[in-house]
Amino acid sequence: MTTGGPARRLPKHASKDAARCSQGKQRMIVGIDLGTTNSLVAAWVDGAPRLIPNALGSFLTPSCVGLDEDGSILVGEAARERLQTHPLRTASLFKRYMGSGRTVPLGDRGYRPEELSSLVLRALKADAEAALGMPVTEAIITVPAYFSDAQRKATRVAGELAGLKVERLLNEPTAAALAYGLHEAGSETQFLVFDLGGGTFDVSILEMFEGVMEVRASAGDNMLGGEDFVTLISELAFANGIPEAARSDPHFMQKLVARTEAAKRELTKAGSARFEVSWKDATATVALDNETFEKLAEPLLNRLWRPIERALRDARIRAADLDNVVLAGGATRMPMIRALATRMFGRFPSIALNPDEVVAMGAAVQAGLKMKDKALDDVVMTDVCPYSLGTHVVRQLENGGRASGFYEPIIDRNTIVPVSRVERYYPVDRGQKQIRIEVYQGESRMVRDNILLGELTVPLPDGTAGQQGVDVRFTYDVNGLLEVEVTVVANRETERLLIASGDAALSPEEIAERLKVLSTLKVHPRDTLENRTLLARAERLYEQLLGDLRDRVGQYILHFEQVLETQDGRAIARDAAAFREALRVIEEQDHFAPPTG
Amino acid sequence: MSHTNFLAVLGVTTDADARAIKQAYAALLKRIDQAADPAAFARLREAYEQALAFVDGKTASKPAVATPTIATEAVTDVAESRTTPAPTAEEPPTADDLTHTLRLAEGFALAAQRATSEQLRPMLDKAIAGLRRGYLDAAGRFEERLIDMLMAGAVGNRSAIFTALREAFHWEELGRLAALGTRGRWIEAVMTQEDAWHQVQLKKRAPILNTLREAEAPLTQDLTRSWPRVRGALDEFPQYLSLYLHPARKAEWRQRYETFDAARAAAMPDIDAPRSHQPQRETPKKPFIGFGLAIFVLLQVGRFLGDNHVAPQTSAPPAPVARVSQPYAPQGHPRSDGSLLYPPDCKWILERFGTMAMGARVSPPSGSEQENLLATCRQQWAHRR
Repeated sequence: MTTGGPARRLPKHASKDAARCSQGKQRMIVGIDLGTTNSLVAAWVDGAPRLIPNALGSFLTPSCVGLDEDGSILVGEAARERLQTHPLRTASLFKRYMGSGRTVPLGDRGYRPEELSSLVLRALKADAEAALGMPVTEAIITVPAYFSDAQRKATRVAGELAGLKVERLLNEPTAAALAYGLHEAGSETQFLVFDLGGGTFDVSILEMFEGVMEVRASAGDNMLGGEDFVTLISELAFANGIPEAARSDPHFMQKLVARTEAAKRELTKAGSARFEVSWKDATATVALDNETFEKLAEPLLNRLWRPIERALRDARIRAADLDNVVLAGGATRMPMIRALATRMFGRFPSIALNPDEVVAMGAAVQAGLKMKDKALDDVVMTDVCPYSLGTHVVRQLENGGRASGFYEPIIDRNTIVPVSRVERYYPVDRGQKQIRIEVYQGESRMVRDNILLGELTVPLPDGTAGQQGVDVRFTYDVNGLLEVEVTVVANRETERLLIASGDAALSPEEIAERLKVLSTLKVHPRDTLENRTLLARAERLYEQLLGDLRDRVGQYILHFEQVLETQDGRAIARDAAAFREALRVIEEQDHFAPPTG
Repeated sequence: MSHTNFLAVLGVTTDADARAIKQAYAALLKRIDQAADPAAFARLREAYEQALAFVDGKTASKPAVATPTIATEAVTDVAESRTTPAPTAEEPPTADDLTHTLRLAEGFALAAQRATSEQLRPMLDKAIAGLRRGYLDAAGRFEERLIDMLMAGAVGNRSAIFTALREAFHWEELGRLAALGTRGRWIEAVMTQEDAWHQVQLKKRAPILNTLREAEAPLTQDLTRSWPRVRGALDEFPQYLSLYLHPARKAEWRQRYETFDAARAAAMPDIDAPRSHQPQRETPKKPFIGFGLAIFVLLQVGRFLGDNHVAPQTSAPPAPVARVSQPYAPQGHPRSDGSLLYPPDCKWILERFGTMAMGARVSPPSGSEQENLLATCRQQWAHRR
């Protein structure tokens, strides 16, 4: 969800300032919001969080990766423009598959979501280096609070593949709270962060006192975000006459998504929207207003309740006790979400900070904390583990029988982190030779309804020594990563479990190999990215338009390509400006086109 | 950590209040690198939590009244919010909201008694969707009210209602029940016993459930005699089976069987004579009927009293709820324990849950009936305050 509005640049001198002020320090850590739809980078500069613009001057870099005709990699707006014209050579929304081991096809090979994310991270890293005038090798990356162990590890690997040491994985709502908390510094308050991003929904409840920002509880839904609302609208096209067969046509699908995106923005702005889309000889007209959209979205809206209710319950407070509700995530711009939040909490939510930017700002605050910046001496933050972690146990029943399949949590959800807990377990049978410890994440009584993270089998000594059981220690660090250690009580032999379930995670060797492959990829040079984006936009328009307008755009493209070949910097800059203006005029005439961001 | 210890870690004295503890904690926390020294953080955090609990214990030194019944809790809530001045936008749950929520729970319970398990879930979803149009805490209040009614046996069809609630409110989720307090412990007991119950062989447990279902209707003599067959199971799975057999009916059953047994023993002094067995078995019938009549009369008196007063639900020998035929919550008879706080208004319930569950069998109460109901209700309200 790109915001409209003009791009804001750091003032010209800001980058020099940043360079100057960071010269005394050894390092610069940047904060990155690696989103489903858009990503942002920010840094702690001169005692305040600052967003860093990309090569196009925008703070939002679409999380899209594309392959150009010459095989070079395009990231951001240029790739997003090409989603429609080159759907097979462009990838988006890959954050949804993080940690799943699934590959996304792009050109002739499949890429893992970690790799695609690393390309986005690399682009952000380059932007930061350009703005700060110094190399950047360390970053704080935000993840949805409800991201699982595998998803977090994949995010960390993405950082590594981009040449960034991930100093910390920070929960998104916590980041939003940090930015908001700093804004409200000094007061004693408890508030809720309602974070509906492109692909995930998170809720956190925070308490602030004496400069301590304490996360009391987090809950969420990893599979609910703004993109699901867009899908609802595009489904209407199929309900209105587009045959199902069109689903397998990537060109049509991308066109439909673009129309839908535009319609959604139009709904937010004007209250109603209408568009036409055709495939072969079928044409569908989709018209809807906010009211029908809200009705359509009811099943999605209902899914927002559960995480909120759970977070409140876990924090042991009633909704009425909250001092404020903070909105984060681009999808909270939708009027129905605002209305829902207002109704839920019986008050207007706070929108003092831009919901698209608040997470990245918070990540920069965390970077400042990590660099022990003087301005943040009096601020400290504690977070929680958003889900329970435990093991599989056999229970003795009241009637003397045994039943297996029970889940016993070792670390309860919403325990403050870092945390280390140990529990002792005994073998079920006398003379048992080994004991299997299965590690699960989840909230169900039975293990079958929870997620298996890994397992470990430990040999037991013979006789009574074996009956003394094993100590199982779970250690959960501030990054949300888990370590499991099993110690046999009798002989103090210890085994560690590396949580790596199946093919979902990359081994260190695999990471090294991918790194090698990625380094051979040619990335489109940053300084010409602006021109490349303009061409991509024109190509998208060319495909979209008909008749005279189409011919005109075709001529512009031809002309601009010729100018580019002259390599005359000044002529290119002048023509680029004219080209951009011409495209803007044409887009305004064609009201179906999505606004550029 | 002993209690001088955790105070020492924080550097506060025993007379520190919550504020001083928070200040001390905040100051120390700022000196610790949580990522680099998790052990130091764990120590500080533990001390902080214990200190807060210690302070909490000091302020709440007066022991809380043991397990206040839920009904009164809900009532005081209503009373409290009624006395507060006009609610602002900042305070969403008004007395009206709360009344609406509790009425909705009761209306649902009444409608649910006749519903099949397939009908229950959509009904419940509909009710919850309605609540969500209101304030955020409403669903929780609704849930609590229904649990109370289940615990008190104030509705029929409890097993199906329990299952529907369990799914809709995610009771399987860990930590979910802990937040429900006493109610959560009861649910936990039911679910644990249910697991164990399913370990019992089907051919053993099915007949027991059938017998319990028969016992919903007034106890016949044959049924009374079958008490020894179900006694074991009822004692072993008390909470779970209370979803099938009302605790009061259980007590009545036990009681009847014991008197019957005693009567039989008295009528059979000569147990040695094996051939006279057959006729002797018939003889206890008369005294039993006489006794049953006596109980019936007692119950009628009890009922009369119960409607006008807050019936103390103690161990009065003939259980006061025994008069109720199936299902246990009679339409429109608000009772003091766990049952209705508001006069059931059939029209209102029909509007909300449709005719699917109530069917044509339920006709809205007539004008005078309504008046009576309201009067009874008001009386009970007055009593409870």
